[in-house]
Amino acid sequence: MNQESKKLWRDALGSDAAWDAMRFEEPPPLAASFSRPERKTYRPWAIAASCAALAVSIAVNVLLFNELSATRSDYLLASLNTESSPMRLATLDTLRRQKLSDDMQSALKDVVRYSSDPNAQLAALELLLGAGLSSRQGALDKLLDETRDNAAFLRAATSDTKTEST
Amino acid sequence: MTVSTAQTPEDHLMRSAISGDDRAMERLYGRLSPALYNYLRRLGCRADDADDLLQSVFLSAWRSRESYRGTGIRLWLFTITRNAYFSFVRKRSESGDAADPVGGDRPDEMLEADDLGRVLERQLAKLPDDTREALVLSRISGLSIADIAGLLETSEANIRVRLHRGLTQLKAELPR
Repeated sequence: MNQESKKLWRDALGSDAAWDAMRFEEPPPLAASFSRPERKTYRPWAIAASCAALAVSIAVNVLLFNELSATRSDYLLASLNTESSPMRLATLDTLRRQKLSDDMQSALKDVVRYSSDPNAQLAALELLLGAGLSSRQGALDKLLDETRDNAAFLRAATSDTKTEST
Repeated sequence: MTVSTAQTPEDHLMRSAISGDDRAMERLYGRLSPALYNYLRRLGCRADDADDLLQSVFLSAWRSRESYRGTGIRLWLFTITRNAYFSFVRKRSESGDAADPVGGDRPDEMLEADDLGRVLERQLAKLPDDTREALVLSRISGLSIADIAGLLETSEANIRVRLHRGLTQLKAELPR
C-alpha cells in the first residue's frame, strides 16, 4: 500500500484508525472470476471452405480442360481431314509435339490410306511410326497394304519410280 | 508529473497475458478486482452495476492487452475503470436513470464494517465527488500520489490539496 497516502491520512486524522477502518475489502458479489472471452476460431470452417472451394475449382478446371482437349482433338482431326494441304501439314507438325490419342492415330491412318497429298501421307506415317506403329506386329504392313489401294499414293509411288528409273 | 514504472507482480501477470498465458488475466482479475470493485462502489455504482462494469473493464483490458505499454497495470486498469464508469453514468443520465449514490440509503448488500468504518463510509459519501474520489483512490488503489494525479488528469499538488481537504472534513465528523 502506498506509504505516502497512509502518512497523509495519519497526519490529518492523528492515527491509523480511520485508515485501517476503511479497508474496503468488499468482494465483487456476482462474478467470482474473470471469464475471458472464448476465442472465436474460424480456422476449421475456413479450412473446410477452402478445401471445398479448391475441390470445386479443380473439378471445374478438369471439366474445362477435358472439354478443351476434346475440342482441340476435334479441331485437329478436322484439320487432318481437310482438303487444304497446308493446313493438314500444319496439323501434322503440331501433332509431332504431343502424345497421340487412339482417335488421332486412327485419323492419321486414314490420312495415310486416303489422302491425295503424298507429303501429308508421309508425315502421318512418320507420326504413326513415332507413336510405335512399327513395333506392333503386322500393323505397319497392314496399313501399307491398305494404302496401296490409294490411287494417289500409287500415282506418287509410280511417279517416284519413274523419276528414279529415269 | 512522474508516473511510477516499478514492476509489480501484477505487471508481470500482464506481461504473461500479453505473451499468451491465458490464465494470467484471470489471476490478474483475482488480485485487482477487489480494489477496482470497491473504487466503483465508492464512486457511486450499485453492486450489480459495479460487477457488470468490472467484467467489461477486464474484457476491454483483455481485448486491448496488445496496446498496453507497460506503464503500470494498476494505473492502466484504474484508468479503464474510471472511463467505463463515467461512460456508464453518461448513458444512464441520457436514458433518464441515475446511478444510485453510495451514501444515504446505503444498499444492504454492502459489507458490514465496524462502527468507525460505517461512519467513514457515511461521511465519505457526503464529500464532493472529486475529493471523495481522491480519498478512495489513496486508500484502495495502491497508486502513488503521482499515479492518482495522472489518473485524474491533474497535478500532484492538486491531489494533495484534495486529500487534505477531504481528510479535514472527515476528521470534523469522526467521533472523538
